[in-house]
Order: sequence, then structure tokens, then C-alpha cells
Amino acid sequence: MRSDRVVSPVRRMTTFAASVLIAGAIVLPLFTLVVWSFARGWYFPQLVPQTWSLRAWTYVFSRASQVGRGIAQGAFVALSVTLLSLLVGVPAGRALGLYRFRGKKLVQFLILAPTLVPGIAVIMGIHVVFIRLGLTGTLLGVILVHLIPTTPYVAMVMTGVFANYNPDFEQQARTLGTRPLQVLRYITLPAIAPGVLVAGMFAFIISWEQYLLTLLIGSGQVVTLPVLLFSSAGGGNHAITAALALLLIAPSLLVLFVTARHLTGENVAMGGIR
Amino acid sequence: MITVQLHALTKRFRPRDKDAAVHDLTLTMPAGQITVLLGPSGCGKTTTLKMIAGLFHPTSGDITFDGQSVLSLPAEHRGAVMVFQNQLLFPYMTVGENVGFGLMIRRHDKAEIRRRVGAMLERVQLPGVADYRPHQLSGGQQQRVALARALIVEPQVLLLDEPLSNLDAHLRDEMRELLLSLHRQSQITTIMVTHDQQEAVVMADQIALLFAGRLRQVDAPQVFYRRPVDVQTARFFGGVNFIPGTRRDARVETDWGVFPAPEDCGVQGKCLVTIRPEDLQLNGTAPVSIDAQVVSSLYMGTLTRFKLRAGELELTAEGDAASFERFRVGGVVRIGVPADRLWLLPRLIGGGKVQQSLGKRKS
Repeated sequence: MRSDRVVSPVRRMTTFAASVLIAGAIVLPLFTLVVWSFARGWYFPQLVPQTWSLRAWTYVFSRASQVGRGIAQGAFVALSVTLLSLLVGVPAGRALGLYRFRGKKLVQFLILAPTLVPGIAVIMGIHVVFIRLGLTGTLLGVILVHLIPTTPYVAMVMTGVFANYNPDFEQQARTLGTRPLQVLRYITLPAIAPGVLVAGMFAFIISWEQYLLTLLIGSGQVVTLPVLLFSSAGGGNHAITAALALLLIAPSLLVLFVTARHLTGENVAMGGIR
Repeated sequence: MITVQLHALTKRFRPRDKDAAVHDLTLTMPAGQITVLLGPSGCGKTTTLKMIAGLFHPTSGDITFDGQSVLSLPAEHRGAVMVFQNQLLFPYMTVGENVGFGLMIRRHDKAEIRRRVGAMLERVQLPGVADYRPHQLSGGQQQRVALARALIVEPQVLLLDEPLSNLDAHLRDEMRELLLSLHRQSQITTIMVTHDQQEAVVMADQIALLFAGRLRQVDAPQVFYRRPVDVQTARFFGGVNFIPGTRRDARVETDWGVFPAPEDCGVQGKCLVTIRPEDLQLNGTAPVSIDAQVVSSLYMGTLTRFKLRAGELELTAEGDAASFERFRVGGVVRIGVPADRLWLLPRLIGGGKVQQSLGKRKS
């Protein structure tokens, strides 16, 4: 669209400068992290570390660091959370995006509410309840509590997806002899798949990087990467903290690359079904 | 071939709605024929179609295919395939996959599907487009693909929702020919919805006219021109001349004189006498004639349309193309009223006074 328009040199330079700034803001801190993770000693006036070492990385991948357990438990929690929040959020998004019903605004507000209220305000009450139910210190407890920030997010994304979705395609398929489950498989899912993918990845990331909820409900029994990261940062070992931080943000970077196209609004995949 | 019958079919979208979208509709759609549900937009015709398809559940009443109620059958088991107004080709499938969709769902094997898709695309005069994407085809071609996708599953009943209204005039004629020739081959019981009276007349074996969810008249197309049941129906089919009169037994008295009443017309007492514009004779020699002043004339190529004033009444008459030159605006013309072309309408429709609609008759 934009490529066939003549762009003035001033405009092109501003665009370039802005791109450099934004890229710098994202990449430079990451670069520092990489340097930190290989540094042995790095003190004030020096621009680069005096001595380099693989010690942080060997520690991170050793059994003592619990990183393996952190990744495994974190991934298990995040995958379960993703699945569950999609299970709730996709139908909710369909209802909000496609149908008009009494009390829709209220439902919309209630779904959004968890993202408006600070987590710490909610978590204290939930903590007490979970202790009574014996859910603290369990993976199930952590999974349930992670649904608080992820489900509204999935519901919101899917509301947008379904607002651009034409349910007549489902009726058309029905009259051609398609049973409801086949409609889901051959008509609905292919149409909303890009949206589900984006919502799912973000649900995964939100859960994967969750610290406060995991710490309080997990009570130290459930160990995920953010928990290890914060305790390491508290301990003051910069090299290990940097290495853990890099591991933590690896999935986010992956998601960023995959979804960049959707985030810029060039939602090509959905274009056809409108 | 299947006979579709509607028995007191009623649909209310909300239980408290005073006016039903479809009200107490009883109608027989004979096997192998094309029945057109005709009516202005919002008259409930598409709702009726979707109830037959099984996409809407009626509030009350019954739908039978060959005498068997189909209400308990979900849409996918009714054998009634609907072609929607806006084609709805699945965008992430090729044209061939679209056409073969119904067979793929029924788990036919791939070679057979490919063969039948090819044959079906030829029947709708679109050979060789199986590997295209739907958006690469024109609107008319997409419409034909949608038709092919419906016909390939060999439906018992074919439901068409405004199949011609999204097309340009010349494509419309082409599509109409195709629909009629496919129907001649397959003899599928077809139910079509349209708001276009001319489209209905050309396509239908039988027209069911609906107003505001209620059935007004069911007949063969030509009957709607000669013997409409009331003023609204007559208007929908281009009737514009309504003359107040009173029927006494075999005679109708009007300001213009006394006519013999049409034999097969049941209207009694105060009534409206109607005559089609093309039946009024300009400079006619019929026993009953009246003088009228030409208010305006419209040359339409093959004919001329005159607006006339005779006393209190406005009339519309049609003459041949040459009459445009013969009768000038402002002049007076003798209008012959052939008695055998008259038809009588009741003065009331649906409990309301016809007089009201007479007031805003200057269309």
C-alpha cells in the first residue's frame, strides 16, 4: 500500500532514526545481558569486563541451580494455563464479539476487571482461600491463579477476532451436511486459527514470566524461572542473573518474531473471512 | 423429488415480540417445481427459508418433506441445501475444495471427489477453475461455484436466497438461464427467495407473496397480474389504476358507468375496480370510454407510459412507442375501458382502510 507512494527524504530519515532508536532500546539492554552472562569481574570504569568466563552458564545448566526443574515446571504450568485460558477465553470472545445480549457491557467489564485491579490486592484473599483448600504449594494452585491475568487477555483478543468473523459460513457448512464438530474443525478453527495462535502465545508468555502469583501460591514448592531469577538477583550474582534472564525472555523473543505481523495490524490471514 | 409443506409455521425471535417474523404460514411447495417466496425486504421470506433448511427452529407449526415432519432433523440431515445471497465460498480453500466440500465431509475418496468436482464445474459452465482461489473469480463465477457446491451433494430440496440480486443485469440473465436449465435437468424441488417481482415471474412455477410475515397470495405468476387478491398485491405487480365502485350481483357501478362483474371474482359491495396500464386503450373504441388529460408522458423505448387525469382520478396507461408523438402533455385523450380486463379488489386490506394507501399513490 505504502510502497508506491513517494516518500520525502526528511520523512525517510525520521523513520530511519525512529527505527534505530526503538531497535536500540530493545536490543542494547539485551546485549548488555549477554555480556554480563559471560563476565567474571566487571567494575566501574571499565567498558568491557576484565575477565570472561563460562562459569555462569555452566552453573545455570548444572543440577544444583534447579534451572532444569524451573524450566520443566514453568513450561508445564504455562502450557496448562494456555490450554485452560483458551478453553474459557475463546468461547467468551465469541459471545462478546458475535452476539448481542442483555448485560453484555457488565460481562465485558467483569472480564476486564482482573487486568485493572493490581494483582497484589487480589492475591492476598485468594492466598487464604487456597491455603484452606490445600492448593498452596501445588502446580494446580499455581495454574489456577495464573488464569487470572491470562483469561481476560485471551477473551479480549478473541473478541476482536470474532468481531471480524462471519458466522454465516458455519450455517452454510451445516446445510451442506456438516455436523457441529466438523464445522468447528473445517470452518471455525481455520478461520480463527491466527487469532488463537496469538492469544495462546501471549497467555503462555504471561504465565511463563509470572513471578508474584507463582511465589505466593507456589510457596517455594513450585519453582519456575522467574522465581529463580528473583532469588538470584537478590543474591547479587550478576552473571547468573543475566544468564537466567536470557533464558526467561527467550520464548518472548520467539513470540515477538512470529506475531510481529499481527501486532502491526496487517492481519492478512483474517482478511478473507470478513 | 420431495414435496415440501409448511403447516401454520410461525417464528418469533423473542417470545414477547408482538409481530411474528413469520406468522401462521401454510403452504405447499410441489415436488420438482420452483416456488418463489416473494415480498419486500423484512417480510420473513429468508427466515422461512432458514427454517426449511433447519438453521432456525420455528416457534410453532410444522415443516414436512413428503409428509414426514423434519423438525427433529438437524440442518445437516435434512437434505435441504441452501445457497446464501453472498455466496460464502470458504476463503482458505480452492474453488475445487469448495465444490467438493460436501463430499469431503461425507468421506468420499479423493479420486471420486476430483472427478465429480470437474464434472460439476462443467455443468455450471466453469471448467478448469478448480485450482483457483475464490477471490480470483468474478461475482458471477463465485455465484456459480456456490451453486455447484450445493448441487454436488444431490440435495432433495434446493434453497436459493436472492441468487440473482448481487449480479449485474447481463450476468443476471445468464445466471437465470443456468438456474432454469439446471432445474430442468435435475428436477430438484427448489425454493427461491427474492424481493424482485420480475425475477419471481421469470423463475417461478408458483409464487407465494408475503407481506410482514403473512402469506397474501399463492398462485402461478400470471394470476398475480390478472387476479390479485388486494390493492397491495396489485401494486407489487405494477398495478396502479384503482377506481372506486360498488358491486351488486353481476354488475359493478362506477362513476364511469356500469360494467359486468368478472365472473370468478367473489368481491361484493363496495370495492375497487382495477385495470392494468397496458389494458387501457388510448383513443379506444370500447363501449365505456372516458376523457382524460395527459399529465405527463414517459418514452421508454418499446412503449410509452402516460399519467392521466380524469376528474378526481389519476390513471396510468401504456401505449406503443409511436404514441409518445401522438398524445402530447396537456392534451385530452379518449380512454377506452375494456370490460373483460377489469378485476375487483376489496376496499380493505389486513383490517386497515385501503383509502389510506390510495392517498399516497403517486408512484
